[in-house]
Amino acid sequence: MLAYGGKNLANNQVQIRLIIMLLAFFSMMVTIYMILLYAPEVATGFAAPKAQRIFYLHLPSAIMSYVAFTVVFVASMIFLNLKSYKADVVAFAAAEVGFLFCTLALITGALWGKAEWDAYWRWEDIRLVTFLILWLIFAAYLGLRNSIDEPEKKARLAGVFGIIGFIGVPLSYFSMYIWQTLHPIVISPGGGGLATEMGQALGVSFISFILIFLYILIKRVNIELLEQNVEQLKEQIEGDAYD
Amino acid sequence: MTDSGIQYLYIAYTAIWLVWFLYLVYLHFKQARLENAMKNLEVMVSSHGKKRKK
Repeated sequence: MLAYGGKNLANNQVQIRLIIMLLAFFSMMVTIYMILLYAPEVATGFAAPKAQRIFYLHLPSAIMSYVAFTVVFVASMIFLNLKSYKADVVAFAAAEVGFLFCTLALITGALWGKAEWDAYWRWEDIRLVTFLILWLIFAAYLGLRNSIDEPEKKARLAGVFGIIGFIGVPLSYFSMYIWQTLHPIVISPGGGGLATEMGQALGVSFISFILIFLYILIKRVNIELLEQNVEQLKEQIEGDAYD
Repeated sequence: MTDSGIQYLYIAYTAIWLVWFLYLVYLHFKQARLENAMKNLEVMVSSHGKKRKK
C-alpha cells in the first residue's frame, strides 16, 4: 500500500493541518502586535533601541533551527536502527525547514548587528561563527541528499550525516559560555533577563514560530511521501512495461 | 550609532514573511505537480491492468 495518496490522506489529517495553520496565523498577528506595540522599548544598553525588537524574531528563529536539527538527529537514529523510511522522510523535511529557520536567524541577526554594532558580521564573535557552521552543516546535509540517486544509499548516508552533524547544535549553543563573545546573553543562565512584557512578547513569538514550524514540517513530510509514491508508481509501470 | 535602527526592524519583518511566503508557494506548486503526476500514473497503472486481463 502506498504511504501517501491524495485520496488516502485522512480527513482528520487535513483538519489538523488547517487548525495548525489558522492558529499559526492568528498567533503571528498577536505576535506582531506585541512586538511592535506591547513590548517596551529598551533604551538602556542598546545603541539602536527600535532595532532591539528584532530580538523577538531572531531568538525564536535560532531556537527553531536547533529544534529542527534535533528532529533530524532523532529521526536519523530511528531510521538507522529500525530502517523506518518514514523516519528518513521526517529527517529530510526537518532539515529543509531547519535550514530555512537557520537562514532567517542569520538574516535577522545580521540586520540587528548592523543596527547595533554597525557591522552585518563580526568574525571574532564565536557565536556567529558556530551558528554559521550549523547553517553549513544543514546545507551539506541537503546537498548530500541531492547528490545521491539511489534511495537506500541516500537515506543511509544522510542518516549518518544527520547524527554526526548534530554536534553543530551544542557547539553553537554552548559557545557563548566557553568563549568570549559579543553576542548578548539574555534568557540563558547568566543572562540579563527580561522585563515581564518582554517575556510575554517573546513567549507569544515562540508559540507562533513553533506552530509555523509544525505546519511547514507536516506539509513538507506529506509532499515528500507523495514524491516517493510517485517514484514507486513509475518503477511499477516501468517494471510492467518489461513484462 | 545615532540611528534608532527602525529600518532594520522593518527589513527583518519583511524578510521573514517573504521567505516563508516564497517557501509555501514553492511547496504548493510542488504538491500540485506531484498530485497531477500521481493521477496520470494511476490512470496508466489501471489501464495497463485492464490490458493484462484481456
